[in-house]
Amino acid sequence: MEGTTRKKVIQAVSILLFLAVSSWCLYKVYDVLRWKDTTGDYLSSFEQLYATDKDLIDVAFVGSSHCFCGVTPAFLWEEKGFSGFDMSVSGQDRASAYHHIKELLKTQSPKVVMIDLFAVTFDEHAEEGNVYRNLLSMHTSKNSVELVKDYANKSEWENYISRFPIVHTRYKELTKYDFDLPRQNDYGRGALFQFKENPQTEYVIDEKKVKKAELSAENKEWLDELIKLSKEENFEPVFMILPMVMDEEIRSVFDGAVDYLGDNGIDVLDFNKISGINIDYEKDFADPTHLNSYGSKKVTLYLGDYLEDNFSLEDHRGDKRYWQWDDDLTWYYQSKAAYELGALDYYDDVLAHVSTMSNVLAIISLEGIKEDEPYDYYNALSALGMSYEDYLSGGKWLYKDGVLTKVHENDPAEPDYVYDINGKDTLKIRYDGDYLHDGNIMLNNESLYAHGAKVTIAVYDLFLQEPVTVKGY
Amino acid sequence: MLFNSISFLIFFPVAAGLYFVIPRKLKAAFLLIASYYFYMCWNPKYIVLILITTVVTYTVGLLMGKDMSDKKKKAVMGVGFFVNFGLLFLFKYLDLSISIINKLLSPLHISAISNPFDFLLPVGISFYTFQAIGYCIDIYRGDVKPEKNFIKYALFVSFFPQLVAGPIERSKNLLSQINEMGTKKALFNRDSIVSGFTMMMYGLFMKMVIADRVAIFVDRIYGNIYLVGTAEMLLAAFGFSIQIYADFAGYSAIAIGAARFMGIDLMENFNTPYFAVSVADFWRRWHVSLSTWFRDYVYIPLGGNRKGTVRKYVNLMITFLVSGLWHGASLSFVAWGGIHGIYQVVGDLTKPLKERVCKALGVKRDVFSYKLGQIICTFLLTTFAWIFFRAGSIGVALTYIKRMFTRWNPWAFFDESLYTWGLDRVESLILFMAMLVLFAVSIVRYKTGDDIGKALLKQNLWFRWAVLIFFMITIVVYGEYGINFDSNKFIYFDF
Repeated sequence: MEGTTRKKVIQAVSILLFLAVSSWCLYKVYDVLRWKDTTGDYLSSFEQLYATDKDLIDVAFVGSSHCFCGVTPAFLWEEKGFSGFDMSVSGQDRASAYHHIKELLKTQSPKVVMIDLFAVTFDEHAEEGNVYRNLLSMHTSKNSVELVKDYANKSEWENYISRFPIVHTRYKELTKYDFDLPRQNDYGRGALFQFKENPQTEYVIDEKKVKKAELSAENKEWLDELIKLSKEENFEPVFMILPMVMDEEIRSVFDGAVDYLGDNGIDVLDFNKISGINIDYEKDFADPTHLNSYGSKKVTLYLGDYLEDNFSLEDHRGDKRYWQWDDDLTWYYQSKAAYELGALDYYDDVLAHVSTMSNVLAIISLEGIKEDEPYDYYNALSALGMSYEDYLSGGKWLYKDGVLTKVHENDPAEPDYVYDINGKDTLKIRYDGDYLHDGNIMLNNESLYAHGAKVTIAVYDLFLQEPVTVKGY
Repeated sequence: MLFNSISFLIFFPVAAGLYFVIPRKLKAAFLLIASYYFYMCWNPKYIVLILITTVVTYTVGLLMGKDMSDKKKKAVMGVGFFVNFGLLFLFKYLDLSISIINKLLSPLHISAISNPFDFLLPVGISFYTFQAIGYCIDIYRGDVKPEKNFIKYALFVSFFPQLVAGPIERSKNLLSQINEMGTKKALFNRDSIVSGFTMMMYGLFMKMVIADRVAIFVDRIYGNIYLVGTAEMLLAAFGFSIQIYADFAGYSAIAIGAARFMGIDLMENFNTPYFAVSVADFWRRWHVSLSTWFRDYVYIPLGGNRKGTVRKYVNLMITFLVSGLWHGASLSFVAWGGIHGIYQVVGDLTKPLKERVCKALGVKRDVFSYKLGQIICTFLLTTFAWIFFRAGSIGVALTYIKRMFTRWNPWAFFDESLYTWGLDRVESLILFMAMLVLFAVSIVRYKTGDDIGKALLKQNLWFRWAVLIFFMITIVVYGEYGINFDSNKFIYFDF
């Protein structure tokens, strides 16, 4: 090779290499700054979808927050062994629903896609955050660009397509989850677990006030496109209206959609009209339009029966490829147990509950306990295996897998006890002289000590990899 | 199409890429089409104005190139002046003229006249008009020969990197390079690409990270001058000095970088102006292409300093008043120009006195501290003058100055209330760090004479890459752009 030509080749290679390195750096920066859902503990249906291997999902549930609150794939898995997935995003609009299904179909071949009809009740998002959730959660592709073109104004296309103009200011709100996503994104199936009961007053629809309204052209077009897509991609579309407190106006829009789909020979599961589910307005709602996990269980079990009766879906339980559904179910039960523990107030109840929990590490601290304590703290601790002498001398214990181990005396001279719980979290226990020091029990840089309490009970969930409660008495 | 827009991010690589690969003979024509497309992205109609300016000055150039008497030459030149300055007057100064006439008529109880036209100011009209007029004067003086190739001449007038806000190029520099476009010398050159790209990144950094960030604070203070005190107003005055420098020098760096990327060297426009040791020195470093234009085509033809001291001062004042008017159709710009003229006249008049005082007090003049004092004084003087530039009217400027010196509130520097004017603690820290980078790059420029593009070429590859990637990441993360941001227009586009 001649010298000049060689020089030119080296120059060209160095430019190409620079482009590669700088692009990689910008991608890594984007990965930190990119839109992440910050209202659901950084959990995202898309993260969970992208973490799922090919062709595992049998049934997809598509919709807004009504869907991820109202349908829980973990119950479907537990009861029937069907591999369900909530392809749902807060406030999912018509265009987003269509393109989110297309995104799911890139890697999955569901036999059934159940679509929540809530999207027919609005044209535009009321919250900017929901626009971001729906338009920016997907990986950039032809499909995500088409979604932007379908939803956003032309003047905003370049912002939504290139994304940096929207997400770059997130440098002011970055958290550890922007660098290290919560591990639930690895195995979650799109559902949100909510255990709080928020009693609702059932609004009884006055059928006389429900005006018969024809479905809008936009809604008809959306339904037609979904039906067309189902034929092209060979899945069965089933539409549903999830339980919610609604008025006559919303009812009439839903009725218009039901009529239109009925004319096309497609059934709609309207959970506000189906009898036998027994939705309890006192216990099954998280808010007026969203079910909690107890309400969701009723809906999901009904859907399980419906799917079993109408489609030949396989029971995948025991198949190791479906480990994410197993973990999702474990996650549900761990979350439920953690919630229930958090809701307990009484000392004996808390310790009794801790003794029933699996996959947890409890840290128990005793300080300044006397023989003539007005409250008997010892009884519940003895059930965990603590001796009376230890109880009186005080100190700190770890309770794990049913075994209580003393790890630190109430002695300022004793070296700190350090325990690496996992690769991320480290527990440090020490004694600073009395119960007024938050540094007595530290998880990384966070205190797990009940300041000023004689007894501290801190519980760390080993499955969720996070502290779930700190109680002081 | 703004330099800091996604459209330009797509347009420039495509235009530059095609420029490198198309046949040599077509390069000029291709760049002309690209330049017209670039300009038409603002307002397609105003391309007509560029075409008029181009055709008229091209014809004037050709005619003056012919053997003709001085009288005829002057007549041809006069036509060129009339058409070009006429367009500039019509679009830029008619409103101001009518408002002045109405003010004069008002005491005579004569009804006010209204503007029969309602034009938007065409982007870049002051720049390309001056560039084209400069070409005609060069030919009139016999400094250059007329360009016969219309496409090449049209490209000289409308070359997209410098079309809308300069640098105002000289025919000697740019036309000769356009003529060399087809030669081997102008082919793909890695050094030009690296250096040009570096300049573009640095320009974007100055504009998007510094200028637009300071602007948030400056705009808030100037918009609330009755709610703030000395502390905020002083900071906003200094802030605007930084803003306009980072904005315009940033724009110029992008323009020079884009041209250099394609192998064309534009003249420098800024040379560390805030390191100037006098106001005269400042004008040798600030907006060099415009100040030398006024020097060559206004100040010297008026007689410069050749016709006695009084004439010299009169010529200086005329030049600076016209320069102020060039910046905008408002008396506050004229006042800004006038202040700079006065600075120079007073500086020249008091020079002997200053020398005597220094001698009497034993002030050492060859030490760093003396020079630093000069730099600080010059910066304070220019900052004071910028108040007139930013205020929008002489009345607002005077109010601002009065309140800045009378509303003493030093506690604002300590009670964190300064963070409530648009830039919180994090934003202020980012701005401070970015200004340290600006300062470091300026020091390199001051010491070596090389702009950042040329200086970085002399460094090792890893360092070049690190600096470039630093700029790229800083721009995309900390740049002021995107949804809900609308102050990203370059200030000098209005002139």
